[in-house]
Amino acid sequence: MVEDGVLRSAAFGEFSKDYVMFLHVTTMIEGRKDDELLMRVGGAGFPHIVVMDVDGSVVREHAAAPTVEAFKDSGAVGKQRLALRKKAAAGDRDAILEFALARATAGQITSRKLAREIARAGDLTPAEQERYRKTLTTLRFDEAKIYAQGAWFVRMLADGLVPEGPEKQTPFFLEILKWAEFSEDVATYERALKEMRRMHGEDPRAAEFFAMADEKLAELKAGAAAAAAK
Amino acid sequence: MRTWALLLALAASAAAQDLEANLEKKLAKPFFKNAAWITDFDEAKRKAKELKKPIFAYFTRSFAP
Repeated sequence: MVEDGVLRSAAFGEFSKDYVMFLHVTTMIEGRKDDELLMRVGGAGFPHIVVMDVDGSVVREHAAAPTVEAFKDSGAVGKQRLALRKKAAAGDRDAILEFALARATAGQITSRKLAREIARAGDLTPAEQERYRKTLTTLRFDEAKIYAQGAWFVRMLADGLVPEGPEKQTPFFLEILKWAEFSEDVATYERALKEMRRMHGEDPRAAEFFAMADEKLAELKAGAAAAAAK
Repeated sequence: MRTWALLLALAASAAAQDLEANLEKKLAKPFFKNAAWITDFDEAKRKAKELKKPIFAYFTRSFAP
C-alpha cells in the first residue's frame, strides 16, 4: 500500500520539500470541515493524488504508478501547467490553446468549455485544427460513456417515466443532475435538484452535497444569463 | 459533479466514535511523520501562497481499510 511504502521512503521525504504537502482524509464524520473535499476536486477513488495551485485548484492529476519518480513527473507537469495558465490569463494566444488542450486531455473541462476556450484562441492553423479535432473526439467519446445514463433518464423524465421510491429515484436524479450540469441545462438541473431535496433535504449528511449543488446551479444560471446577454 | 459521495454518505452507518478512532489511527501511521503534511485545506493554501509553492495533495480515507 502507498502509505506503508512510497510515502514512508526517504526519497519521498526529500521530494516533499519542493511542495506544500496537503493530506486529506475522508472520514465520514458528520459535519467535519471539508470532509467532502475529494468530491469537490473531482476525485472518484482512493488514493487520489493531485498537484494544486496556491488557490487549491487542481492543475495535474497523478495517474501513473505511485513512485517518487512518477510524482516528480506529475509535479513538473503541474508546474508547467501553472506557467501556461498564467500566460493564458494574460491573453497569450498560444498559451490559451495549449492550456485548453491540456485541460481537456486531462478531463478537467467539458467539450463545451473546450470549444469556448478554442474560440478565444482565434483562427487555428491546419495542424492546430487537427490537434483540436483529435482532443475533441477523445473527450466526446469519454463524455458519451459518462453521461449516457443521464441522457437516457432525462428522456424517461420527459416521458413521465419516473421510478418509484428513493432507492431508485436517488440514482435516477443524480444521473440527471450530472447530465444537466454537463449540458448546462438550468431547468433540468433545477428540477432534479428539487427532487433530490424532497428526498434528502432534511438529512444533515447531505448538507454539503446540497451546498455544492446550489453553488453549481447559481453558476449555471450566471452562465446562461451571460450567454443570453451576448 | 461527482455524486457517488452522496450515496456513500447516505449509506454510512458507522458509529461516530468509531469514525473518530479511525481518523486518529490514520494520522498515527508512520508515513504522516515523513513529510510536513498539513491536514487543513485553508492552511495548506495559505502556506502555498506564503511560500509560493504548489500543493501536492494526497487524498485517503479512514472509514474503511
